[in-house]
Amino acid sequence: MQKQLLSLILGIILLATQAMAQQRAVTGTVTDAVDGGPLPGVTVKLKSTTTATVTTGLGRYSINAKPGQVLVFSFVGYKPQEATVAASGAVDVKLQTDATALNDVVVTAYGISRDKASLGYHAPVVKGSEVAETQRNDFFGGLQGRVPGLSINSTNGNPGASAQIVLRGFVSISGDNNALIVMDGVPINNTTLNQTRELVSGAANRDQDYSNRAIDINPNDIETYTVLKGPEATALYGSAGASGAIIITTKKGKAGQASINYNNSFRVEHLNKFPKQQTMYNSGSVGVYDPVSTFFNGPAFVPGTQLYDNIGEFFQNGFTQKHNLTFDGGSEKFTYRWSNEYSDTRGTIPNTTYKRFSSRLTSTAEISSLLKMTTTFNYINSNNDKVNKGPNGFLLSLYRFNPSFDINNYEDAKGNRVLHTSSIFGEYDNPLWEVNKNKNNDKTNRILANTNFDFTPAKWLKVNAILGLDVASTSGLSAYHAQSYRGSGSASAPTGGRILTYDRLDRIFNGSLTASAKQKAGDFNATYILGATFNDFNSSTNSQQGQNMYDPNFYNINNTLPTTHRVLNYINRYRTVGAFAQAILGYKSLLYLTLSGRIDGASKLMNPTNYEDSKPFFAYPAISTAFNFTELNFFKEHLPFLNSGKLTASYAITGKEPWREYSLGTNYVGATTTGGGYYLSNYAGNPNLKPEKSKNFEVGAELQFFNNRLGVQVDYYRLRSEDQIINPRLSYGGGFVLELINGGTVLNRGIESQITGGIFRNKNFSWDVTSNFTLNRGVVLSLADELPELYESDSWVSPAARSAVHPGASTAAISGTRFDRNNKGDLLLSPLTGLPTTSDTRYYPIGDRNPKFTLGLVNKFRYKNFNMSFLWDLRYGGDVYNATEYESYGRGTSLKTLDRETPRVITGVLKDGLENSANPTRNTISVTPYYTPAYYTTNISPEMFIERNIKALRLRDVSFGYDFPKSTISRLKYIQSLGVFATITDAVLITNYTGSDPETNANSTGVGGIGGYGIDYGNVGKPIGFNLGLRVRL
Amino acid sequence: MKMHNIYKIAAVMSALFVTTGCKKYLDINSNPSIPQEVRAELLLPPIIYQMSNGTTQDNRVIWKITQNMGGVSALDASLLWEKHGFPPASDVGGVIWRMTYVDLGLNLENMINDGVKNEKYEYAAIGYAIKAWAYQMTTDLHGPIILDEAFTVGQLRFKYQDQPEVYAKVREWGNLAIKYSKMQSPVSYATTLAGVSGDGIYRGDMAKWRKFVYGLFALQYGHLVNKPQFKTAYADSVVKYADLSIANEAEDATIGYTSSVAADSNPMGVQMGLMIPSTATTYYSRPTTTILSLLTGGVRGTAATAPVFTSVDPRMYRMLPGTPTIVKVPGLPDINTLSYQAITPNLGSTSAGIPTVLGAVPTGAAAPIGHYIFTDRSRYPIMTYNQLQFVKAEALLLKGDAAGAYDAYTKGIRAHMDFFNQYGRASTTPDPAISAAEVNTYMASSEVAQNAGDLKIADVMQQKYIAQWGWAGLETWCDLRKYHYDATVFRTYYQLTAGELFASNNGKFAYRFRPRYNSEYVWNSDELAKWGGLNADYMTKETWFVLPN
Repeated sequence: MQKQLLSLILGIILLATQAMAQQRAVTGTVTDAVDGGPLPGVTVKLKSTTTATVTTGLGRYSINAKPGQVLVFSFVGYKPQEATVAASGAVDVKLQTDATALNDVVVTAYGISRDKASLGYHAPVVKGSEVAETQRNDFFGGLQGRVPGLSINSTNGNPGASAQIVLRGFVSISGDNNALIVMDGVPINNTTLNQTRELVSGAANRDQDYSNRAIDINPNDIETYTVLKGPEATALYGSAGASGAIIITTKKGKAGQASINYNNSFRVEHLNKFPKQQTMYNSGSVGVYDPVSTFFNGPAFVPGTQLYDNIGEFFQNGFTQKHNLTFDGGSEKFTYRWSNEYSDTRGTIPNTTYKRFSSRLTSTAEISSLLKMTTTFNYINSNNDKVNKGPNGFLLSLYRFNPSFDINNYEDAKGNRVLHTSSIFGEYDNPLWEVNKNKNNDKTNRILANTNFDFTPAKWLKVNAILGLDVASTSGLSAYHAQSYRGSGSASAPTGGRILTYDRLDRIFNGSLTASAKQKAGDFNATYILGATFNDFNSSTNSQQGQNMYDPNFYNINNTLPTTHRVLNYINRYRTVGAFAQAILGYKSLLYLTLSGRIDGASKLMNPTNYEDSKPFFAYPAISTAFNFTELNFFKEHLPFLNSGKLTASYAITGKEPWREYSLGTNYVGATTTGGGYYLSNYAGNPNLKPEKSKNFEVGAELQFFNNRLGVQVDYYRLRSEDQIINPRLSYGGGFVLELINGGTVLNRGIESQITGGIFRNKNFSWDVTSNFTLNRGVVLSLADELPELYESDSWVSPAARSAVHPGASTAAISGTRFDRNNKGDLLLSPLTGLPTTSDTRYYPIGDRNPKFTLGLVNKFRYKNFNMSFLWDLRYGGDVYNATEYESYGRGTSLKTLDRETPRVITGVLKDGLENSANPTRNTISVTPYYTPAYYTTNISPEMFIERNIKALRLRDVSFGYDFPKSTISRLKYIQSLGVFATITDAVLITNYTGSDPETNANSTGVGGIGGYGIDYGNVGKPIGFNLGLRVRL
Repeated sequence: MKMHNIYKIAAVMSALFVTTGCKKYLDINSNPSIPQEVRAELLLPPIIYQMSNGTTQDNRVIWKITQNMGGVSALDASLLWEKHGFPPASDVGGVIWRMTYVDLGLNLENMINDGVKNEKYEYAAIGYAIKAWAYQMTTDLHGPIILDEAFTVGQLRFKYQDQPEVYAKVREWGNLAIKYSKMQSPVSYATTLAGVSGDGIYRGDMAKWRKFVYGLFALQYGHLVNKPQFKTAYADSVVKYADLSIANEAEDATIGYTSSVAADSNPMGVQMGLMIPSTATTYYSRPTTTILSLLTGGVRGTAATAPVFTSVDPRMYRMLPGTPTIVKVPGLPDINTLSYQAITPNLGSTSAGIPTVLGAVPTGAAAPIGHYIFTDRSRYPIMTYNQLQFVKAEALLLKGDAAGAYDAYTKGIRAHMDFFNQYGRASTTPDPAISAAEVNTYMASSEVAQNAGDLKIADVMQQKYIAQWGWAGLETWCDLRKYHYDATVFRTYYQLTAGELFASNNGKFAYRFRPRYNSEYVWNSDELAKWGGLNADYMTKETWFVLPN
């Protein structure tokens, strides 16, 4: 097959060359006239023909032309230039920057291109190649640190891990805070499976991770990412875009010579940071050895006992290979691009893999001079083998695994679990047993199709219609082996293994119709945009669960006892419609005013039993201004070094529809108990639910200095979100346990800044720096009806601490119980034991997971044919709850328990009735934890494991590239360019956090609100990865 | 393009939106996987199931206080209930609360409404009967509870009402149940009610449902023994309603199961795992010395020490699980090698080997097969004939009618033997039925009062304790509370010393449960404060029915 493909490709190329035999291949380099740096991506066109090409990464091009013909060089931001082909010799060109560089065009909602100068807000753009270069499987992982205000919070470093994609901090307490992902004008599916609602097991979203579906997108297909943050920017996407949007423009074929690009990458990954465990004390209690115990409060290991490095043995080196093959080309009237990707990742945890095949075909056709059509068809197939996390996941199993046992010895010759302490029912799994026998897998087949019509009936009028279809089918399996701790049940009720399988079919069908009209009258110009959209989401999940597997090693639902079968069908469906109007009014290019209005209709606001009184529609406005003050002569004359300057201000209101479907009406649940039947769901229907409302005010400035060598962008925003849709527990007196209600106000304020600098530029060497600064403060001003706390129960992974909000505290508070203290704040200690007490069982905000600020720093160097870039990413401040350490401490495996034989007196006063008097009794009771194991178990508090003010400096990505000079590759006849590159991902992490990685989430992104962000429980961090690859263009 | 044209287009488009087309398109906010409106017929099966689930879960901790059963764990979380205490910030002990307001709650209301509105009178009758029962259980457990304000749409905080008001409502609903049970529905629901998804208690026999309601009334009046009006008025009500109620063990209110899977089996059975949560959890369901002594001579005499298979009471080995001895005697039946041990409440017994009431694990097996009424297939008792006979005996005895009391007392004991024969033998290897000879022997023994003159209140209450052991935890607790845990009435009850009681009890025994934590302590703290519910010793506050006034 491969051979045939190669001969086919060669054949095509040979035919093409023969046809042009009478012409000569003109080559040359296009450079910047000011700094002499090469300009990649410049279109080189043979005048009055359809023949064209683009320059390579080094600014080189090659085109067949006859002497005397004229070449036209054009590039965004530069003045077009022409050159005549001579009989021989290269044609090198230096392009001058266009003085009206501010006329850069930004793609906003629905593919509407707007002059940058007219935007009343900032819309940072990241090049697709910059992200693709990192060689990460998911594009969002590569965006971290490259955009101010964008935060990517991944669950852990495993292949296929889910991640929150959050712009400008968490705004919704319980709702979805993820940015909308829009590809070529069409919002795509970025949902994560919610185990609780959609699966028959109904489990909390924490022991398994499910990918967020944006992971399916091949980063190599992406031309640019435009990030729309404020609600003003996303007013055009309505409710769905209320958390901001990432607008992805994919690569299209380019007219001119056809080309074939191939690149590959091979990566080795190594996990180098995880907490150590103590190997001095054996299992037991009060210094007495107990082989059955999983608490390590026993005596010291007998000298000479063989201890195994089980943690080191467990992790393996990961390996990834990735291949991209792209064909593109076409004429002025028709272009095509067919890109294919295959990637295969084997993670650092045994039996974790992520494989993906993606094939994407894009064509653009000019059907007539008035109508242009772009059609895309993308098929993606992925396969993700995962492991369990949480209390019985591999990491906590690993930490409590006795080092005197060999981890590799997990299965005997007959395939039985090797036991050390108890029966299969009572002993926790050996982590290698866990990852080998408890299977977790997701397989996804996905098709993304979209068609984009551009109709230009008159010069001033443009009509755009987009239709998109996104169908994803995922089949998943989650199994606990019959002999595993979780799958065996109990001795009295053995379950003999458990399998859960599911099939989920997601279908999104959406479309938009927009018309934009331009008008010019003297110094005044105006653009009017009108549009309407619809979006139809339908997801159906069928899940099956069975127990008592006949063959414990055959993972299929058919292999389970029929009487244990349980099934669930869950359908999530919702629709939205929207209409919007926008007027952009400009005076010269000096002052712009944009007025927008939108009406949204959301099916989630329909009352199923009361059609007449349902109010699914809600409307909101936005206003923004842009003042390009450097257009004034005063600045041109007096501040010549200031190339451009713009001040912006905007105010916008956005509505957010309820985050859960079917929440207005009452819902029933099918009973699985005797006689079947139906009973009411625990969730009360709330017919009075209304949209969450955000009001955003924003001011900003954008300045370019010294021939655009230095750019500064600053924004300040203040976002007040009212009528939060929360899901509190209620008094059962209402008949329900929970209800979606409106209540609570959240205020987010922040500063974002981007500074870009061309520090050094000449013909051979250049150095460019971009810094992205983000500061966000989110505070919960109030909660419904003076509710003291609202918590997310899925995040309650560790005793006495959970993700919750309290009025007056940060949106990202962590809530927990506290040790008792007297009025002066002294620790209250038991007069009997001298240990702290926790008699108050209320939850208080004990930490704030929100970082104080983050800073991303991108450096790019080029020296002749070498280029190099690296991204530093700093997180400064904010707390992380180290629940893994809480667990280790309680079990006596933490390094902090090594001083257990040292007597100590806890500072505090005795709770003897005098604690609040003028002379409380100071504690003098000495405790030796070795003999008082309660020191580590009952007398611990989550406060002790909140790691405060965490700073983490990461070198996220480093890439080196080398393009072989033309002279070297000219001998390879059909190769236009050839390069090699090396990339290191997650190269360095310098942090004061003592656990694996402060970037962690105890839940999957299936949980709304803030979720388990910043709660480290049984997760590992990101491995360091070394990539090597080559890229070749034919 | 002129501005006003834009506005025109915008106006037209907006108008289009608000009109029918789009709204119709959006009208999909109902779950297609589940019906949105459910008929009474489909609401009934889960309601009946939840009656057994809710009471079983709370019984596990109520039994620790009544000393029906306890744990063998020395952990605080297990022992605090045996100490008459409660775990802070926990929903344990709040399942009946949840049952009444959520699991039955609006399901029951909807069933009753559908029954009344659409002339399905059987469902209205059964609904009111269950509602009356549920509220009586809830107030007996918690004292003041949410009553009139329950299920008010849009309300987040609810007023409590005390027991006299709840009892009055219970009688009102009971009478409505009786009214509807006598009405003829235009369409017969007999087949549906008798089917698998029908009435799991009486299969639609409305006469028996009436008896159930009368039984409920008898129990209610029976709680009021400390009230001055008891002898003059309430005792007669007890007798009247007991006589109108269940007439023999065949008419007992019991819930049946198909027991194919855990969720479809008796919650007190093996599969559901409530009585044996896991091998690691040792908190629940071990018999105590209190019951063991009552079955081995402790009702009137001295209980046997180191009891074995043979006991004065034929129910002993049939109700309690035996502990297999280490030495097996060759040639003798297995059963003779059983010894009987029980835990002492509040000690976190060191006898970890004491099996749960489901029985010891047979050699080579992973789980017990279940024993007495603790099997997957056993019917779950809600109210029994023998129970009501003891209520009647107590009332008559207090009133001064010793002869009538004695008659009801002996009927009660004999009926409980019959109860065993009818409901206690669902295990795959059941114990033999109690023979008439065995019954007669017991009736003639020193454990049973031999004539009306010899009958003491302790005889009645302790026989009632035995008869209710293992299912009517709450009614047993009502009895203990009525007599203030009197050691002369409940002779084998382990009297905890002040030091053994839960620290914040201030030396007092428990008289009520705190309302469910996650329902009330989060939202309703103002209302709780009104009743003293925020005080650490709220649990020791006597409920209204215990008090003289």
